[in-house]
Amino acid sequence: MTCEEAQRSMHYHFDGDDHLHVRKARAHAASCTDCGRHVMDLEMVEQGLRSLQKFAAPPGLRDRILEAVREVPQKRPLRGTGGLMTREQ
Amino acid sequence: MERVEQGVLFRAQTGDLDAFTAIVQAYEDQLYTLAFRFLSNSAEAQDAVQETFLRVYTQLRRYDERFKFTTWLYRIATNVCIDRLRKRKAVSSLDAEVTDGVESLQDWHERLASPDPSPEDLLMQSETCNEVQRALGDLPPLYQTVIILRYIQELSLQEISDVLHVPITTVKTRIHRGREALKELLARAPVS
Ligand SMILES: [Zn+2]
Repeated sequence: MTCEEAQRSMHYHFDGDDHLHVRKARAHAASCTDCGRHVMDLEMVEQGLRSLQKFAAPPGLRDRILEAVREVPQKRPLRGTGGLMTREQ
Repeated sequence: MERVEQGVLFRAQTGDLDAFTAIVQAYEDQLYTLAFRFLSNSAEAQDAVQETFLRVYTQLRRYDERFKFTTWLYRIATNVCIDRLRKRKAVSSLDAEVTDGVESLQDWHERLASPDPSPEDLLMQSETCNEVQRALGDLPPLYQTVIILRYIQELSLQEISDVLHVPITTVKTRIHRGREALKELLARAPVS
């Protein structure tokens, strides 16, 4: 397995796959400095992404949304009886 | 992943605003987080969330119950955010032509990623990993989308495939390229 193949296959490892080519890539990375480094870099990427916090919607946003919603009618269903409100966007 | 009951959904479909309020309440945090990760800007993220819920409300009677409500919701939110990114990009390239295109790639990226960060944005970003958010903002929208759905919203590959209407193999390829691109962008980022 070449380094290029190993580095490509390693992404499937990060997806949670455990196919033969993934296991081969892991074995390769264990004994190859470049590919070992590549794995560590990807782990850092994942760690960085997972450390991004989840926000709470700012105060006032919900009221703003509900106010805007009051101004618009719902479109009628594509099929079926539907209502009287037929305004299209 | 479902957070509202069918009954609430049915009532909202008849224009019941209390029921719709329950829907907004159930999803506003996660949609705001999603929009902020796309747009790197609080004011724009709020506009995007408002636009999303407005579309959800007007289209609610056309929602097909055979699909998960959250899948539909994420599809709308993702489209709203990507539209905004594209518009921003179009405006930026016009600017770039006018100013003779001498700006550095870095300026370009900074302008793309965060137009006028407010003190609130700066505060929010300093609380989080600034470089990661910046790198995320520098990704092409195609990769940014799958990375956000995967790592920020924590959807499964199958769920992402449902949201985007593309096969799982495509989702995987985009995630692989997105991860690889983030690795490069973060390697280039100055250590702060
Ligand atoms: Zn190697």
